[in-house]
Amino acid sequence: MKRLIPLLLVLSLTGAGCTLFKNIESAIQLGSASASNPVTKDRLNAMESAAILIFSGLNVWRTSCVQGLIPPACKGQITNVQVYTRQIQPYLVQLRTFVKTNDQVNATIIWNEVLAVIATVKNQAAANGVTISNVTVGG
Amino acid sequence: MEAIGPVMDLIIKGLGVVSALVAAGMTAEPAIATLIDLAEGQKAGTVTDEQLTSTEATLDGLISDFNLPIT
Repeated sequence: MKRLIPLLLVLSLTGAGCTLFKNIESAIQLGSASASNPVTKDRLNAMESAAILIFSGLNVWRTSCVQGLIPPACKGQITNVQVYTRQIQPYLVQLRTFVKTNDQVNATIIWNEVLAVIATVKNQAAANGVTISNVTVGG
Repeated sequence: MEAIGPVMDLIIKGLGVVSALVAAGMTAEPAIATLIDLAEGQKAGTVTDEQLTSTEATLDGLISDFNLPIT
Protein backbone atom coordinates (compact mmCIF):
# COMPACT_ATOMS: atom_id res chain seq x y z
CA MET A 1 0.00 0.00 0.00
CA LYS A 2 1.34 3.32 -0.97
CA ARG A 3 2.37 5.61 1.82
CA LEU A 4 1.15 9.07 1.23
CA ILE A 5 2.01 12.37 2.76
CA PRO A 6 -1.29 14.13 3.08
CA LEU A 7 -1.00 17.84 3.18
CA LEU A 8 -4.06 19.45 4.59
CA LEU A 9 -4.24 23.15 4.59
CA VAL A 10 -7.00 24.81 6.46
CA LEU A 11 -7.34 28.40 5.56
CA SER A 12 -8.84 29.98 8.59
CA LEU A 13 -8.82 33.71 8.55
CA THR A 14 -9.74 35.36 11.76
CA GLY A 15 -10.00 38.86 13.08
CA ALA A 16 -12.60 41.53 13.45
CA GLY A 17 -14.31 42.36 10.19
CA CYS A 18 -12.99 39.25 8.51
CA THR A 19 -16.31 37.48 8.35
CA LEU A 20 -15.88 36.94 4.64
CA PHE A 21 -13.74 33.98 5.40
CA LYS A 22 -15.94 32.04 7.70
CA ASN A 23 -17.14 29.98 4.79
CA ILE A 24 -13.60 29.31 3.63
CA GLU A 25 -12.59 27.77 6.91
CA SER A 26 -12.41 24.28 5.60
CA ALA A 27 -9.71 21.78 4.97
CA ILE A 28 -8.21 21.85 1.52
CA GLN A 29 -6.19 18.90 0.46
CA LEU A 30 -3.19 20.23 -1.36
CA GLY A 31 -1.89 16.98 -2.69
CA SER A 32 0.27 14.12 -1.65
CA ALA A 33 3.76 12.92 -2.28
CA SER A 34 6.63 11.12 -0.64
CA ALA A 35 10.06 9.99 -1.58
CA SER A 36 8.62 6.59 -2.49
CA ASN A 37 5.76 8.05 -4.51
CA PRO A 38 6.73 10.09 -7.54
CA VAL A 39 5.50 13.62 -7.94
CA THR A 40 3.42 13.01 -11.05
CA LYS A 41 1.78 15.57 -13.29
CA ASP A 42 -1.56 14.60 -11.73
CA ARG A 43 -0.23 15.31 -8.25
CA LEU A 44 1.34 18.54 -9.36
CA ASN A 45 -1.95 19.60 -10.94
CA ALA A 46 -3.91 18.70 -7.82
CA MET A 47 -1.50 20.66 -5.65
CA GLU A 48 -1.63 23.68 -7.91
CA SER A 49 -5.42 23.47 -8.11
CA ALA A 50 -5.64 23.52 -4.34
CA ALA A 51 -3.27 26.46 -4.30
CA ILE A 52 -5.60 28.27 -6.71
CA LEU A 53 -8.43 27.87 -4.22
CA ILE A 54 -6.23 29.06 -1.38
CA PHE A 55 -4.94 32.08 -3.24
CA SER A 56 -8.49 32.89 -4.33
CA GLY A 57 -9.28 33.19 -0.64
CA LEU A 58 -6.12 35.14 0.09
CA ASN A 59 -7.01 37.58 -2.67
CA VAL A 60 -10.43 38.14 -1.14
CA TRP A 61 -8.61 39.01 2.07
CA ARG A 62 -6.31 41.35 0.17
CA THR A 63 -9.14 43.02 -1.75
CA SER A 64 -11.16 43.45 1.42
CA CYS A 65 -8.13 45.07 3.02
CA VAL A 66 -7.52 47.44 0.10
CA GLN A 67 -11.18 48.43 0.09
CA GLY A 68 -11.07 49.18 3.79
CA LEU A 69 -13.67 46.58 4.65
CA ILE A 70 -11.51 45.13 7.41
CA PRO A 71 -9.31 46.79 10.05
CA PRO A 72 -6.24 48.59 8.64
CA ALA A 73 -3.89 46.29 10.53
CA CYS A 74 -4.54 43.88 7.68
CA LYS A 75 -2.01 45.74 5.54
CA GLY A 76 0.84 44.86 7.82
CA GLN A 77 -0.44 41.32 8.16
CA ILE A 78 -0.60 40.84 4.42
CA THR A 79 2.84 42.38 3.94
CA ASN A 80 4.24 39.90 6.43
CA VAL A 81 2.61 36.96 4.67
CA GLN A 82 3.82 38.20 1.29
CA VAL A 83 7.41 37.74 2.43
CA TYR A 84 6.73 34.04 2.24
CA THR A 85 4.18 33.80 -0.54
CA ARG A 86 6.74 35.50 -2.77
CA GLN A 87 9.03 32.53 -2.23
CA ILE A 88 6.50 30.11 -3.65
CA GLN A 89 6.66 31.09 -7.30
CA PRO A 90 10.39 30.42 -7.81
CA TYR A 91 9.92 27.03 -6.21
CA LEU A 92 6.95 26.29 -8.46
CA VAL A 93 8.97 27.10 -11.55
CA GLN A 94 11.59 24.59 -10.49
CA LEU A 95 9.07 21.99 -9.40
CA ARG A 96 7.20 22.15 -12.70
CA THR A 97 10.41 21.67 -14.64
CA PHE A 98 11.51 18.72 -12.56
CA VAL A 99 8.14 17.01 -12.78
CA LYS A 100 7.89 17.47 -16.54
CA THR A 101 11.37 16.09 -17.02
CA ASN A 102 10.64 13.34 -14.52
CA ASP A 103 13.59 14.38 -12.36
CA GLN A 104 12.08 12.80 -9.29
CA VAL A 105 15.06 13.37 -7.04
CA ASN A 106 14.95 17.12 -7.45
CA ALA A 107 11.16 17.21 -7.67
CA THR A 108 10.97 15.62 -4.24
CA ILE A 109 13.54 18.04 -2.86
CA ILE A 110 11.66 21.06 -4.16
CA TRP A 111 8.34 19.60 -3.02
CA ASN A 112 9.77 19.48 0.48
CA GLU A 113 10.98 23.04 0.14
CA VAL A 114 7.47 24.10 -0.82
CA LEU A 115 6.17 22.29 2.26
CA ALA A 116 8.68 24.18 4.39
CA VAL A 117 7.59 27.52 2.94
CA ILE A 118 3.95 26.64 3.53
CA ALA A 119 4.75 25.78 7.13
CA THR A 120 6.49 29.13 7.50
CA VAL A 121 3.55 30.92 5.91
CA LYS A 122 1.30 29.14 8.36
CA ASN A 123 3.32 30.28 11.35
CA GLN A 124 3.81 33.80 10.08
CA ALA A 125 0.16 34.21 9.18
CA ALA A 126 -0.90 32.89 12.56
CA ALA A 127 1.33 35.44 14.25
CA ASN A 128 -0.53 38.14 12.37
CA GLY A 129 -4.07 37.07 13.04
CA VAL A 130 -4.54 34.82 10.04
CA THR A 131 -4.48 31.18 10.93
CA ILE A 132 -3.51 28.63 8.35
CA SER A 133 -3.58 25.41 10.26
CA ASN A 134 -3.74 21.65 10.02
CA VAL A 135 -0.77 21.23 7.73
CA THR A 136 -0.10 17.57 8.31
CA VAL A 137 2.93 15.81 6.93
CA GLY A 138 3.15 12.15 7.74
CA GLY A 139 2.73 8.82 6.21
CA MET B 1 -4.38 7.36 -12.54
CA GLU B 2 -4.57 9.02 -9.18
CA ALA B 3 -6.96 7.92 -6.49
CA ILE B 4 -10.39 9.47 -6.85
CA GLY B 5 -10.78 10.30 -3.16
CA PRO B 6 -8.31 13.16 -2.82
CA VAL B 7 -9.47 14.84 -6.02
CA MET B 8 -13.12 14.52 -5.08
CA ASP B 9 -12.35 15.89 -1.63
CA LEU B 10 -10.63 18.83 -3.25
CA ILE B 11 -13.59 19.46 -5.56
CA ILE B 12 -16.01 19.33 -2.64
CA LYS B 13 -13.88 21.70 -0.58
CA GLY B 14 -13.49 23.89 -3.63
CA LEU B 15 -17.23 24.24 -3.94
CA GLY B 16 -17.22 25.68 -0.45
CA VAL B 17 -14.57 28.18 -1.49
CA VAL B 18 -16.61 29.11 -4.56
CA SER B 19 -19.66 29.70 -2.38
CA ALA B 20 -17.64 31.92 -0.09
CA LEU B 21 -16.24 33.90 -3.00
CA VAL B 22 -19.69 34.45 -4.47
CA ALA B 23 -21.07 35.41 -1.07
CA ALA B 24 -18.27 37.96 -0.76
CA GLY B 25 -19.08 39.39 -4.17
CA MET B 26 -15.71 38.34 -5.56
CA THR B 27 -14.98 36.68 -8.85
CA ALA B 28 -15.16 32.94 -8.54
CA GLU B 29 -14.27 32.24 -12.14
CA PRO B 30 -10.72 30.95 -11.56
CA ALA B 31 -11.90 28.66 -8.79
CA ILE B 32 -14.78 27.35 -10.87
CA ALA B 33 -12.55 26.76 -13.87
CA THR B 34 -10.14 24.92 -11.62
CA LEU B 35 -12.86 22.64 -10.32
CA ILE B 36 -14.07 21.91 -13.85
CA ASP B 37 -10.54 21.06 -14.92
CA LEU B 38 -10.12 18.80 -11.91
CA ALA B 39 -13.36 16.97 -12.69
CA GLU B 40 -12.48 16.62 -16.36
CA GLY B 41 -9.01 15.43 -15.51
CA GLN B 42 -10.45 12.86 -13.15
CA LYS B 43 -12.86 11.69 -15.83
CA ALA B 44 -10.10 11.40 -18.39
CA GLY B 45 -7.91 9.53 -15.95
CA THR B 46 -4.93 11.82 -16.20
CA VAL B 47 -4.20 15.48 -16.59
CA THR B 48 -3.20 16.74 -20.01
CA ASP B 49 -0.33 19.08 -20.64
CA GLU B 50 -2.87 21.66 -21.77
CA GLN B 51 -4.77 21.40 -18.48
CA LEU B 52 -1.56 21.61 -16.51
CA THR B 53 -0.50 24.72 -18.40
CA SER B 54 -3.90 26.29 -17.77
CA THR B 55 -3.72 25.50 -14.07
CA GLU B 56 -0.23 26.92 -13.83
CA ALA B 57 -1.22 30.14 -15.58
CA THR B 58 -4.20 30.64 -13.30
CA LEU B 59 -2.16 30.00 -10.17
CA ASP B 60 0.65 32.28 -11.31
CA GLY B 61 -1.86 35.06 -11.88
CA LEU B 62 -3.44 34.68 -8.48
CA ILE B 63 -0.09 34.54 -6.69
CA SER B 64 1.07 37.62 -8.56
CA ASP B 65 -2.10 39.46 -7.61
CA PHE B 66 -1.70 38.61 -3.95
CA ASN B 67 1.96 39.54 -3.94
CA LEU B 68 1.39 43.04 -5.32
CA PRO B 69 2.50 45.71 -2.86
CA ILE B 70 -0.43 46.68 -0.69
CA THR B 71 -1.11 50.36 -0.21
